[in-house]
Amino acid sequence: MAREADGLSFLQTQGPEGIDKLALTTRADSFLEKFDNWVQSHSIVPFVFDTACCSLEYGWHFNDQFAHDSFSPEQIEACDSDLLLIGGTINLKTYPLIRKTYEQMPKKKWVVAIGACPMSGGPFPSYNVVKDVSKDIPVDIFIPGCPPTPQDIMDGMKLLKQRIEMGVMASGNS
Amino acid sequence: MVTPNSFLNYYSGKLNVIDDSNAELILEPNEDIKGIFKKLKEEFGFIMLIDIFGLDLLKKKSFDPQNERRFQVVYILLNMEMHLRLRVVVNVDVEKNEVLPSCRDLWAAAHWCEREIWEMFGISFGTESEKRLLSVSGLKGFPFRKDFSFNGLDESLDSEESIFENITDVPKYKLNLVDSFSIGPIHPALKGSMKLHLQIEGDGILNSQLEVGYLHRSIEKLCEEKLYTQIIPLTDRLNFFSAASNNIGWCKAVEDLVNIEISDKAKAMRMVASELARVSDHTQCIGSIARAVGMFEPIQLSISIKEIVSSLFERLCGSRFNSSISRIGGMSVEVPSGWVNDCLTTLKVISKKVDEIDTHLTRSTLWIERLRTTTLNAYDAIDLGITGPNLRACGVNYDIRKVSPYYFYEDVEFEIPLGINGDCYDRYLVRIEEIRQSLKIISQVLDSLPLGKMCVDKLKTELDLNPLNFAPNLCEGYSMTETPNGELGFFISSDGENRPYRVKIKGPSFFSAQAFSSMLENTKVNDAMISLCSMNIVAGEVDR
Repeated sequence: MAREADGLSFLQTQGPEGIDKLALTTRADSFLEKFDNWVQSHSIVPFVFDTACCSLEYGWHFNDQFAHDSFSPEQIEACDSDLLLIGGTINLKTYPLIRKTYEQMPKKKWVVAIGACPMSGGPFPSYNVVKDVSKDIPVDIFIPGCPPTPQDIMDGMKLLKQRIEMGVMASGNS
Repeated sequence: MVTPNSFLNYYSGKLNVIDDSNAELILEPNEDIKGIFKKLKEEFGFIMLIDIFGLDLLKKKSFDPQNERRFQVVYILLNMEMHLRLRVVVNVDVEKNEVLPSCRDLWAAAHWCEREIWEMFGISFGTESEKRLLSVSGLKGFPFRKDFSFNGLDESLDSEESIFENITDVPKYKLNLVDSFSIGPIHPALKGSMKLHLQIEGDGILNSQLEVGYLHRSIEKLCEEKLYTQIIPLTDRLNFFSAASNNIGWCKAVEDLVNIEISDKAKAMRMVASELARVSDHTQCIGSIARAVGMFEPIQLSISIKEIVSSLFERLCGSRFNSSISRIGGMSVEVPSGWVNDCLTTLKVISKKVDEIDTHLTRSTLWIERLRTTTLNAYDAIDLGITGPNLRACGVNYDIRKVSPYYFYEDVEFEIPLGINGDCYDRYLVRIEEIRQSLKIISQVLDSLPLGKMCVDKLKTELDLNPLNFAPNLCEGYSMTETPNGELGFFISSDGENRPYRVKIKGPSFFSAQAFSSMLENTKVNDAMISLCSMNIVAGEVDR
């Protein structure tokens, strides 16, 4: 599956004899698939669903990407993005909304849950808090912590990049 | 002329005087409650309603189901001239369908409190109060009752109502222009989730409503199952921009309940921690307003100040945001060696950055023009129960650090900045000046940091400070501190166990959120986000 197994990196294929090599070594559809994954791993569009305190650590960074082109407080719509970032407690009132957001996203999508709350309810074992988001929303990467440090989040994102390059996703549409 | 004495004499029989500034009045529902409240407000000057909450006595040891009423509703009233707090307790029996009179017309702040009590305890204040506020629609039963158990949702219980009633006072030819839409629940400035419903005509807002409950985690219910020390991390998550001041508020409330006197060094370090939290909270508020207006440099500066403060906290206690820095009877950690010097040098960096924000914003014509919206006058602010910088921006000089000083606030030198117009620009000015005053307080305290231990010696107190055995006697009390958003109060009712019987958190943002809906009328749509950020409504504190 990995690119190195074929002994050919994408940059090598850009050379003068690259196309001939490709014709010999890879099938066209698998090449296109790899190319797709490579592109996607560099141009991921996150939809930040931040509900509570965990958003403090990463929120400003992700939102600042939008701040450069327009200062409007709107986010990119769910149907245009391919990474769902869940940060913070999900309660019964928010849960239908986050499921709806997930369904609106295109078929090829990844989900990262940040903090203890989306994976276990965190320090709030109460009637109103959803204990495990992954029952309805297949989650790719869980980043534990209350809240996780920026280093933890960066590590999680690196893992996510590997998954995207391999074309693996929890939603099972690969 | 009303004096404390004339008030005490009038209710001499019924009134329990707790201390100089606190008293309790117990009423039965067959009395003329509305008349008593009217007298309290108009004659004795209790113009501000701090909070209303319910209490279920079912599991109390002293409760006698035959002769006593099961529920209590507690009103906390404040007289701002005499600094007198009155706790009015009304006993209610829900089984006999007793309905309490609503005091919305006396204090506008009562509306959301009454709605919360209805959905949590089933105590009715008339039909207006019977709407859900925090809990999810379709929830069976009343969650804060002691015999509640959660078993699923029933969607048929609540019928969907349209948020806005049909407009009648708009001319017929304009009806086509009236439209409504919702923003949310993701907050653009990361202050938790809430939903803003707007009804607009052109770009003017006719009606607005802030829907809350998207972050309701029922912290108050969880507190009843936890030990007193286990509650400290939960309070971190109330206003997560200034976690340290919430911890300190909770610990102070418990210490006031059992009369522990903490050491001088712990007092000083608590002041430092809460003022650092105030700096970081106010800068992120200014940064979020700058984001809504569209100014880039102040955002970066505010993020860098927030980063400096969180790294100071990291060096102090190991955690960046949710610090859980205080313990009952002191602080969790000793001050690391060199931290005080580091803090004093970074204060200079912070004050330089604050000056830089000041030069970018305060005289900028764009900034002034965009922020001269959503004016709130002092009368409405007091009526709606707003506290903290939002109240001081209206020109009301009320700060708990000055009025009833705790720790060393009466010894340090600082000033309370006040606004005049009560609009977004004044709220910004008050906040940026409060940052400077906080820096002044920190440097004064650190310059003369007392020596001693951080925690209370176990031999000195009669109470067992071991977290498992720590149990106050049968008592209840309300204690408040001045957090960045205003008055954060904790009402604790203890039954002699090592877990509290009932905890009520008075979050300042709860009342700001309630006021926000009515403030937006007759403003423009693109001002909505600016005023939402300038009120600094944090969902963790609203929904709890």
